[in-house]
Parts: sequence; structure tokens; C-alpha cells
Amino acid sequence: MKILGKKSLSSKVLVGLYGLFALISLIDIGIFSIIFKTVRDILNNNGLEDWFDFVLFTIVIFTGLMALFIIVQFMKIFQNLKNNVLFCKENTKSLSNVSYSCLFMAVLYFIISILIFCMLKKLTQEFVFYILTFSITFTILFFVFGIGIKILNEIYKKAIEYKEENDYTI
Amino acid sequence: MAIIVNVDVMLAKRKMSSNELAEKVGITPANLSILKTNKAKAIRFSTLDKICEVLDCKPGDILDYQK
Repeated sequence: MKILGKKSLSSKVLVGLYGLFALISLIDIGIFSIIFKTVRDILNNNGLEDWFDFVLFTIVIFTGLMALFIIVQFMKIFQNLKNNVLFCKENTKSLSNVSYSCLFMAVLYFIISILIFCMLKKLTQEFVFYILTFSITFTILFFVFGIGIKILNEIYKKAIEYKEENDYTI
Repeated sequence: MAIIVNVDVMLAKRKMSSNELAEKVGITPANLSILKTNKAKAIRFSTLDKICEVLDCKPGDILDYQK
């Protein structure tokens, strides 16, 4: 199977990324509506749980926006792969952005975990179990991804350096 | 880089065109242009050998070092 170029695996992945972008955007819009609802509740009741919901969903929105940013960066990379542009500095910049975004996402999920842990007594056991497991897993996952992509980016930078050296060796 | 390539000077002395040198050495005119404009990162001994052979000179006549 062809991996690079037009009508290849990378072009199909690009289509998948467009779909994922649309899906996450829709979820984000849904969460925005929940935030508006909690803001309305805060204005009416001013309860602690409403504030908790507001902070939690705001962080979730941020993670969604970061996910969209990561997808856009991957779109750029796969667009270059589709056009057979493999070793360009633009790709390293995108990968660097992805790695920093992943680390930022890990921090956001860590904050979510702490928030839920702080509200342990006020929430139902089932909710805590699912959300805490989910947020801790994502914290570890994004941290590992962030570090991994950063290392890959450094390797990619070296590859570009070697390619340039080879191109300019007469 | 402190290494300067003086192919232009030797070409003028031998009254040879760049295209002719590129053809005789067996490199593309684009690569010769990279060499002349000091953009090259390295030069193979085989290429240097060919250039010296065609221009009838020593490597020191083509390459110079400036601080």
C-alpha cells in the first residue's frame, strides 16, 4: 500500500482528521451550551457545585480547543506528506507544537483529576470512579505522548540537518 | 564558513564557462552554482579531484581559508 503521496494512506488519514476535527468541534459546542447553563445556575443559586461544574467544564473546553489545535497541526503534517514534502522545517514546527500541546493537555487533565479528588465527598461514587479513571489515564497518556513526540521531533530535526548536509555536498 | 571557494577565479584564468566545467566534471550547473556561491557544506574528494584535473590546478588554488 502506498503510504506517501496522492491517493495514499496519508491522504486517507487526512480525511479522517477532517472528520475528527468536525466531531470534536461539535462536542465543544455541546460543552459550551452546558457552560452557559451552569453560568445561569450560578447567577440564580450561587451554589458551590455550580462553581465546580463551571470550572470543570471550562477546563474541558480548553482540552477540546487544544485537541483541535493538535489536529490542525497533524493536518499540516499529513498535507505535506500527501504532497511528498517529507523533510521540511514546517513539519518540525508542527511536531513541536503538538508535543507542547500534549504536555499542556496532561497538565489540564491533572488539574481536572485534582478538582475531582477535592470534591470526592460531594460527588456520587460512580461518577468519581469513571471521571477520575478517565482523567488520570489521559494525564499519563498525554504526558507520554508529549515526551515521545518531542523526542521524535528532535530525531526529525537531525534528519533534516543530515538531508541538508547531503544536499549541499557536491 | 571560513572556507572560500575560488572556482570563479580559476574559471576566468582558464577562460572556461561554468557550464563547460560542470559538464566536464560531471556535476549539474546547479551544484556548481552552490559551490561558487559558498553555500556548499562539503565537497567530495572525487569532485575536487575532477575539478583540479579539468582546471589543471591544485586544491589550494580553488579553496582558500579566511578568518
